[in-house]
Amino acid sequence: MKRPLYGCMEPTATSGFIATQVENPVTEIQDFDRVVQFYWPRILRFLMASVRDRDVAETLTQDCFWNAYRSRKAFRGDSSLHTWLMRIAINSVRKFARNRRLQFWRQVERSAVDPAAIGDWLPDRKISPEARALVNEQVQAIWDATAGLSDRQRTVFLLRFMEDMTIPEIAEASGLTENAVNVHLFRAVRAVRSCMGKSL
Amino acid sequence: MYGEIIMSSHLSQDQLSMCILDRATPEEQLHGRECPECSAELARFRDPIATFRTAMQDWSDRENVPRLADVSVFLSRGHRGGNPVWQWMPVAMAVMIVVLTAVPIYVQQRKLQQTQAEEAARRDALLMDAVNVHLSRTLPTPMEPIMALVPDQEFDIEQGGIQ
Repeated sequence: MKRPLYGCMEPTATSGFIATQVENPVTEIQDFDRVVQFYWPRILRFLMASVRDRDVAETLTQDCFWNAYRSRKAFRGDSSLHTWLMRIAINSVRKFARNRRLQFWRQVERSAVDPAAIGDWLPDRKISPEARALVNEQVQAIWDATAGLSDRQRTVFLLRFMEDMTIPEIAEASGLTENAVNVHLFRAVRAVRSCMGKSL
Repeated sequence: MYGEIIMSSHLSQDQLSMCILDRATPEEQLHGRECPECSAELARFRDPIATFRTAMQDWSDRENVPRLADVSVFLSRGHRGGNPVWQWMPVAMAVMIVVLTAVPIYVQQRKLQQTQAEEAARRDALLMDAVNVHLSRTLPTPMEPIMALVPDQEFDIEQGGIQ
Protein backbone atom coordinates (compact mmCIF):
# COMPACT_ATOMS: atom_id res chain seq x y z
CA MET A 1 0.00 0.00 0.00
CA LYS A 2 1.34 3.39 -0.95
CA ARG A 3 1.89 6.10 1.60
CA PRO A 4 -0.76 8.81 1.43
CA LEU A 5 0.05 12.42 0.88
CA TYR A 6 0.29 14.55 3.97
CA GLY A 7 -1.83 12.10 5.86
CA CYS A 8 -1.72 8.78 7.54
CA MET A 9 -3.40 5.43 7.13
CA GLU A 10 -6.31 4.53 9.28
CA PRO A 11 -8.02 1.17 9.51
CA THR A 12 -11.61 0.96 8.36
CA ALA A 13 -14.24 -1.62 9.10
CA THR A 14 -14.57 -2.89 5.58
CA SER A 15 -11.47 -2.38 3.57
CA GLY A 16 -8.47 -2.44 5.81
CA PHE A 17 -6.79 0.89 5.30
CA ILE A 18 -7.66 4.12 3.65
CA ALA A 19 -6.04 7.49 3.64
CA THR A 20 -7.34 9.94 6.14
CA GLN A 21 -8.56 13.36 5.09
CA VAL A 22 -5.67 15.65 4.47
CA GLU A 23 -5.66 18.79 6.48
CA ASN A 24 -5.31 21.11 3.56
CA PRO A 25 -6.24 19.65 0.16
CA VAL A 26 -5.37 22.93 -1.54
CA THR A 27 -1.78 22.50 -0.39
CA GLU A 28 -1.85 18.86 -1.40
CA ILE A 29 -2.72 19.62 -5.01
CA GLN A 30 0.37 21.81 -5.44
CA ASP A 31 2.54 18.72 -5.77
CA PHE A 32 0.51 17.28 -8.59
CA ASP A 33 3.00 14.59 -9.50
CA ARG A 34 2.56 13.06 -6.09
CA VAL A 35 -1.19 13.38 -6.44
CA VAL A 36 -0.98 11.34 -9.62
CA GLN A 37 1.24 8.75 -7.96
CA PHE A 38 -1.11 8.32 -5.03
CA TYR A 39 -4.56 8.54 -6.58
CA TRP A 40 -3.87 6.90 -9.95
CA PRO A 41 -4.60 3.32 -8.78
CA ARG A 42 -7.89 4.36 -7.15
CA ILE A 43 -9.16 6.22 -10.19
CA LEU A 44 -7.93 3.49 -12.52
CA ARG A 45 -9.69 0.66 -10.70
CA PHE A 46 -12.92 2.65 -10.40
CA LEU A 47 -12.86 3.41 -14.12
CA MET A 48 -11.89 -0.18 -14.92
CA ALA A 49 -14.86 -1.54 -12.99
CA SER A 50 -17.11 1.10 -14.53
CA VAL A 51 -16.25 0.85 -18.21
CA ARG A 52 -15.01 -2.78 -18.04
CA ASP A 53 -12.36 -2.16 -20.65
CA ARG A 54 -8.69 -1.89 -19.77
CA ASP A 55 -7.57 0.41 -22.58
CA VAL A 56 -10.55 2.71 -22.16
CA ALA A 57 -10.02 2.79 -18.40
CA GLU A 58 -6.36 3.80 -18.81
CA THR A 59 -7.22 6.48 -21.34
CA LEU A 60 -10.00 7.87 -19.17
CA THR A 61 -7.67 7.87 -16.17
CA GLN A 62 -5.14 9.91 -18.12
CA ASP A 63 -7.91 12.26 -19.20
CA CYS A 64 -9.11 12.53 -15.65
CA PHE A 65 -5.73 13.58 -14.28
CA TRP A 66 -5.07 15.88 -17.18
CA ASN A 67 -8.42 17.63 -16.62
CA ALA A 68 -7.68 17.81 -12.91
CA TYR A 69 -4.25 19.30 -13.61
CA ARG A 70 -5.70 21.92 -15.92
CA SER A 71 -8.40 22.94 -13.46
CA ARG A 72 -6.34 22.55 -10.30
CA LYS A 73 -6.48 26.28 -9.66
CA ALA A 74 -10.26 26.08 -9.46
CA PHE A 75 -10.04 23.49 -6.69
CA ARG A 76 -10.91 25.31 -3.48
CA GLY A 77 -10.72 22.40 -1.11
CA ASP A 78 -14.45 22.30 -0.33
CA SER A 79 -14.29 18.54 -0.70
CA SER A 80 -11.40 16.13 -0.32
CA LEU A 81 -9.04 15.71 -3.23
CA HIS A 82 -10.17 12.10 -3.59
CA THR A 83 -13.81 13.16 -3.91
CA TRP A 84 -12.92 15.88 -6.39
CA LEU A 85 -10.90 13.51 -8.55
CA MET A 86 -13.64 10.92 -8.33
CA ARG A 87 -16.17 13.48 -9.54
CA ILE A 88 -14.01 14.13 -12.59
CA ALA A 89 -13.75 10.38 -13.15
CA ILE A 90 -17.53 9.94 -12.89
CA ASN A 91 -18.02 12.69 -15.45
CA SER A 92 -15.57 10.89 -17.73
CA VAL A 93 -17.58 7.70 -17.39
CA ARG A 94 -20.81 9.54 -18.19
CA LYS A 95 -19.25 11.16 -21.23
CA PHE A 96 -17.87 7.83 -22.37
CA ALA A 97 -21.28 6.15 -21.91
CA ARG A 98 -22.94 8.92 -23.91
CA ASN A 99 -20.43 8.58 -26.74
CA ARG A 100 -20.76 4.81 -26.68
CA ARG A 101 -24.53 5.11 -27.09
CA LEU A 102 -24.00 7.47 -30.02
CA GLN A 103 -21.37 5.20 -31.58
CA PHE A 104 -23.25 1.97 -31.08
CA TRP A 105 -22.14 0.68 -34.46
CA ARG A 106 -18.51 0.72 -33.39
CA GLN A 107 -16.81 -2.14 -31.63
CA VAL A 108 -15.80 -0.16 -28.57
CA GLU A 109 -14.84 -2.91 -26.18
CA ARG A 110 -11.85 -4.17 -28.11
CA SER A 111 -9.92 -4.82 -24.94
CA ALA A 112 -12.84 -5.81 -22.78
CA VAL A 113 -11.88 -7.73 -19.68
CA ASP A 114 -12.19 -11.46 -19.80
CA PRO A 115 -14.24 -12.35 -16.72
CA ALA A 116 -12.46 -15.66 -16.44
CA ALA A 117 -9.16 -13.87 -15.92
CA ILE A 118 -10.28 -11.47 -13.23
CA GLY A 119 -9.41 -13.83 -10.43
CA ASP A 120 -5.85 -13.94 -11.74
CA TRP A 121 -5.44 -10.30 -10.74
CA LEU A 122 -4.88 -11.49 -7.22
CA PRO A 123 -1.18 -11.79 -6.55
CA ASP A 124 0.26 -15.21 -5.92
CA ARG A 125 -0.43 -15.91 -2.33
CA LYS A 126 0.07 -19.15 -0.60
CA ILE A 127 -3.42 -20.43 -1.06
CA SER A 128 -4.55 -23.82 -2.16
CA PRO A 129 -5.91 -24.37 -5.66
CA GLU A 130 -9.33 -24.93 -4.12
CA ALA A 131 -9.18 -21.61 -2.30
CA ARG A 132 -7.99 -19.87 -5.45
CA ALA A 133 -10.88 -21.36 -7.38
CA LEU A 134 -13.27 -20.04 -4.74
CA VAL A 135 -11.68 -16.59 -4.95
CA ASN A 136 -11.98 -16.60 -8.73
CA GLU A 137 -15.60 -17.62 -8.43
CA GLN A 138 -16.40 -14.86 -5.95
CA VAL A 139 -14.66 -12.13 -7.93
CA GLN A 140 -16.31 -13.21 -11.12
CA ALA A 141 -19.72 -13.29 -9.43
CA ILE A 142 -19.38 -9.64 -8.36
CA TRP A 143 -17.98 -8.65 -11.74
CA ASP A 144 -20.94 -10.27 -13.51
CA ALA A 145 -23.45 -8.87 -11.04
CA THR A 146 -22.27 -5.29 -11.48
CA ALA A 147 -22.54 -5.64 -15.24
CA GLY A 148 -26.31 -5.81 -14.93
CA LEU A 149 -26.61 -2.58 -12.95
CA SER A 150 -27.56 0.75 -14.44
CA ASP A 151 -24.70 3.23 -14.82
CA ARG A 152 -25.79 5.19 -11.77
CA GLN A 153 -26.32 2.12 -9.60
CA ARG A 154 -22.92 0.74 -10.62
CA THR A 155 -21.24 4.04 -9.80
CA VAL A 156 -22.65 4.32 -6.29
CA PHE A 157 -22.13 0.60 -5.66
CA LEU A 158 -18.46 0.76 -6.63
CA LEU A 159 -17.83 3.94 -4.67
CA ARG A 160 -19.41 2.41 -1.57
CA PHE A 161 -18.10 -1.13 -1.64
CA MET A 162 -14.89 -0.86 -3.63
CA GLU A 163 -13.71 2.63 -2.70
CA ASP A 164 -15.25 2.57 0.77
CA MET A 165 -16.62 6.10 0.43
CA THR A 166 -19.30 7.41 2.75
CA ILE A 167 -22.78 8.39 1.57
CA PRO A 168 -22.04 12.16 1.78
CA GLU A 169 -18.81 11.63 -0.17
CA ILE A 170 -20.63 9.62 -2.82
CA ALA A 171 -23.30 12.32 -3.05
CA GLU A 172 -20.62 14.97 -3.44
CA ALA A 173 -18.73 13.03 -6.09
CA SER A 174 -21.75 11.93 -8.10
CA GLY A 175 -23.76 15.14 -7.85
CA LEU A 176 -26.73 13.25 -6.41
CA THR A 177 -28.57 13.96 -3.20
CA GLU A 178 -27.87 11.67 -0.26
CA ASN A 179 -31.41 10.30 -0.52
CA ALA A 180 -30.90 9.49 -4.18
CA VAL A 181 -27.59 7.79 -3.36
CA ASN A 182 -29.32 5.67 -0.71
CA VAL A 183 -32.06 4.67 -3.11
CA HIS A 184 -29.63 3.72 -5.89
CA LEU A 185 -27.45 1.88 -3.42
CA PHE A 186 -30.34 -0.10 -2.00
CA ARG A 187 -31.50 -1.13 -5.48
CA ALA A 188 -27.94 -2.00 -6.48
CA VAL A 189 -27.40 -4.21 -3.43
CA ARG A 190 -30.70 -5.95 -3.99
CA ALA A 191 -29.86 -6.54 -7.68
CA VAL A 192 -26.34 -7.78 -6.91
CA ARG A 193 -27.59 -10.13 -4.19
CA SER A 194 -30.25 -11.45 -6.53
CA CYS A 195 -27.68 -12.02 -9.27
CA MET A 196 -25.23 -13.66 -6.86
CA GLY A 197 -27.97 -15.92 -5.55
CA LYS A 198 -28.28 -17.31 -9.05
CA SER A 199 -24.57 -17.60 -9.76
CA LEU A 200 -23.13 -18.81 -6.47
CA MET B 1 -31.53 -13.30 23.70
CA TYR B 2 -32.67 -11.94 20.32
CA GLY B 3 -36.05 -10.23 20.73
CA GLU B 4 -39.33 -11.93 20.42
CA ILE B 5 -40.53 -10.20 17.26
CA ILE B 6 -37.26 -10.55 15.45
CA MET B 7 -36.68 -14.13 16.33
CA SER B 8 -40.17 -15.08 15.20
CA SER B 9 -38.75 -15.08 11.65
CA HIS B 10 -35.54 -14.45 9.77
CA LEU B 11 -34.69 -11.15 8.17
CA SER B 12 -36.43 -10.43 4.88
CA GLN B 13 -34.42 -9.76 1.73
CA ASP B 14 -34.94 -6.01 2.13
CA GLN B 15 -33.90 -6.16 5.79
CA LEU B 16 -30.77 -8.05 4.80
CA SER B 17 -30.00 -5.37 2.21
CA MET B 18 -30.48 -2.69 4.84
CA CYS B 19 -28.12 -4.57 7.17
CA ILE B 20 -25.51 -4.59 4.42
CA LEU B 21 -25.94 -0.84 4.01
CA ASP B 22 -25.75 -0.25 7.79
CA ARG B 23 -29.22 1.26 7.71
CA ALA B 24 -31.04 -1.48 9.59
CA THR B 25 -32.49 -0.99 13.05
CA PRO B 26 -30.32 -2.04 16.00
CA GLU B 27 -32.56 -5.11 16.51
CA GLU B 28 -32.13 -6.16 12.89
CA GLN B 29 -28.39 -5.63 13.12
CA LEU B 30 -28.27 -7.75 16.24
CA HIS B 31 -30.30 -10.45 14.60
CA GLY B 32 -28.07 -10.35 11.54
CA ARG B 33 -25.03 -10.89 13.74
CA GLU B 34 -26.37 -13.61 15.99
CA CYS B 35 -28.77 -15.62 13.88
CA PRO B 36 -26.65 -18.29 12.11
CA GLU B 37 -28.79 -18.38 8.98
CA CYS B 38 -29.08 -14.60 8.52
CA SER B 39 -25.41 -14.19 9.40
CA ALA B 40 -24.51 -16.72 6.71
CA GLU B 41 -26.75 -14.91 4.27
CA LEU B 42 -24.96 -11.62 4.98
CA ALA B 43 -21.59 -13.33 4.65
CA ARG B 44 -22.64 -14.63 1.23
CA PHE B 45 -22.62 -11.01 0.11
CA ARG B 46 -19.83 -9.53 2.21
CA ASP B 47 -17.17 -12.16 1.57
CA PRO B 48 -17.23 -11.94 -2.26
CA ILE B 49 -17.36 -8.14 -2.01
CA ALA B 50 -14.27 -8.13 0.19
CA THR B 51 -12.49 -10.51 -2.19
CA PHE B 52 -13.48 -8.40 -5.18
CA ARG B 53 -12.22 -5.25 -3.50
CA THR B 54 -8.92 -6.89 -2.63
CA ALA B 55 -8.51 -8.20 -6.17
CA MET B 56 -9.18 -4.79 -7.68
CA GLN B 57 -6.84 -3.06 -5.24
CA ASP B 58 -4.07 -5.56 -5.85
CA TRP B 59 -4.47 -5.20 -9.58
CA SER B 60 -4.50 -1.39 -9.57
CA ASP B 61 -1.54 -1.20 -7.17
CA ARG B 62 0.50 -3.35 -9.56
CA GLU B 63 -0.24 -1.13 -12.54
CA ASN B 64 2.45 1.31 -13.60
CA VAL B 65 1.67 4.87 -12.67
CA PRO B 66 2.98 7.34 -15.25
CA ARG B 67 4.57 10.60 -14.28
CA LEU B 68 2.53 13.73 -14.92
CA ALA B 69 4.94 14.74 -17.65
CA ASP B 70 4.24 11.45 -19.47
CA VAL B 71 0.50 12.03 -19.21
CA SER B 72 0.75 15.55 -20.56
CA VAL B 73 3.01 14.42 -23.41
CA PHE B 74 0.59 11.61 -24.27
CA LEU B 75 -2.41 13.90 -24.26
CA SER B 76 -0.76 16.74 -26.13
CA ARG B 77 0.34 14.27 -28.82
CA GLY B 78 -3.16 12.99 -29.31
CA HIS B 79 -6.24 14.99 -30.05
CA ARG B 80 -8.04 14.21 -26.84
CA GLY B 81 -6.81 16.75 -24.37
CA GLY B 82 -5.71 19.44 -26.76
CA ASN B 83 -6.81 22.99 -27.03
CA PRO B 84 -10.49 23.08 -28.07
CA VAL B 85 -9.62 25.77 -30.62
CA TRP B 86 -7.40 23.31 -32.48
CA GLN B 87 -10.05 20.59 -32.24
CA TRP B 88 -12.45 22.84 -34.16
CA MET B 89 -9.86 23.93 -36.70
CA PRO B 90 -10.74 21.26 -39.35
CA VAL B 91 -14.40 22.20 -39.11
CA ALA B 92 -13.55 25.88 -39.44
CA MET B 93 -11.36 25.13 -42.46
CA ALA B 94 -14.15 23.14 -44.10
CA VAL B 95 -16.65 25.94 -43.50
CA MET B 96 -14.20 28.47 -44.92
CA ILE B 97 -13.66 26.37 -48.06
CA VAL B 98 -17.40 26.02 -48.55
CA VAL B 99 -17.91 29.77 -48.11
CA LEU B 100 -15.05 30.66 -50.44
CA THR B 101 -16.42 28.33 -53.11
CA ALA B 102 -20.06 29.19 -52.72
CA VAL B 103 -19.80 33.00 -52.68
CA PRO B 104 -18.36 33.44 -56.23
CA ILE B 105 -20.88 30.95 -57.60
CA TYR B 106 -23.69 32.83 -55.89
CA VAL B 107 -22.48 36.20 -57.24
CA GLN B 108 -22.14 34.78 -60.75
CA GLN B 109 -25.63 33.32 -60.65
CA ARG B 110 -26.98 36.61 -59.37
CA LYS B 111 -25.38 38.54 -62.25
CA LEU B 112 -26.69 36.05 -64.79
CA GLN B 113 -30.20 36.37 -63.42
CA GLN B 114 -29.94 40.16 -63.52
CA THR B 115 -28.79 40.15 -67.16
CA GLN B 116 -31.59 37.77 -68.13
CA ALA B 117 -34.11 39.99 -66.37
CA GLU B 118 -32.82 43.09 -68.19
CA GLU B 119 -32.96 41.29 -71.56
CA ALA B 120 -36.52 40.15 -70.88
CA ALA B 121 -37.52 43.71 -69.95
CA ARG B 122 -35.97 45.04 -73.15
CA ARG B 123 -37.84 42.46 -75.24
CA ASP B 124 -41.07 43.31 -73.47
CA ALA B 125 -40.55 47.01 -74.19
CA LEU B 126 -39.98 46.28 -77.91
CA LEU B 127 -43.09 44.14 -78.03
CA MET B 128 -45.14 46.85 -76.34
CA ASP B 129 -43.84 49.40 -78.86
CA ALA B 130 -44.90 47.14 -81.71
CA VAL B 131 -48.32 46.71 -80.18
CA ASN B 132 -48.68 50.46 -79.68
CA VAL B 133 -47.75 51.12 -83.33
CA HIS B 134 -50.27 48.55 -84.45
CA LEU B 135 -53.06 49.95 -82.30
CA SER B 136 -52.38 53.55 -83.27
CA ARG B 137 -53.04 52.93 -86.99
CA THR B 138 -56.02 55.03 -88.32
CA LEU B 139 -57.01 52.52 -91.01
CA PRO B 140 -58.46 49.19 -89.79
CA THR B 141 -56.71 46.12 -91.11
CA PRO B 142 -59.73 44.76 -93.14
CA MET B 143 -59.76 48.00 -95.18
CA GLU B 144 -56.15 47.78 -96.26
CA PRO B 145 -56.76 45.65 -99.43
CA ILE B 146 -59.37 48.16 -100.66
CA MET B 147 -57.16 51.11 -99.96
CA ALA B 148 -54.53 49.51 -102.08
CA LEU B 149 -56.78 50.27 -105.10
CA VAL B 150 -56.96 53.97 -104.25
CA PRO B 151 -54.17 56.11 -105.77
CA ASP B 152 -51.59 57.22 -103.35
CA GLN B 153 -52.44 60.93 -103.75
CA GLU B 154 -56.10 60.44 -102.84
CA PHE B 155 -55.04 58.24 -100.02
CA ASP B 156 -52.73 60.91 -98.81
CA ILE B 157 -55.54 63.48 -99.01
CA GLU B 158 -57.85 61.27 -97.08
CA GLN B 159 -55.17 60.73 -94.62
CA GLY B 160 -54.84 64.48 -94.40
CA GLY B 161 -51.25 64.25 -95.54
CA ILE B 162 -51.38 66.60 -98.51
CA GLN B 163 -53.44 69.77 -98.16
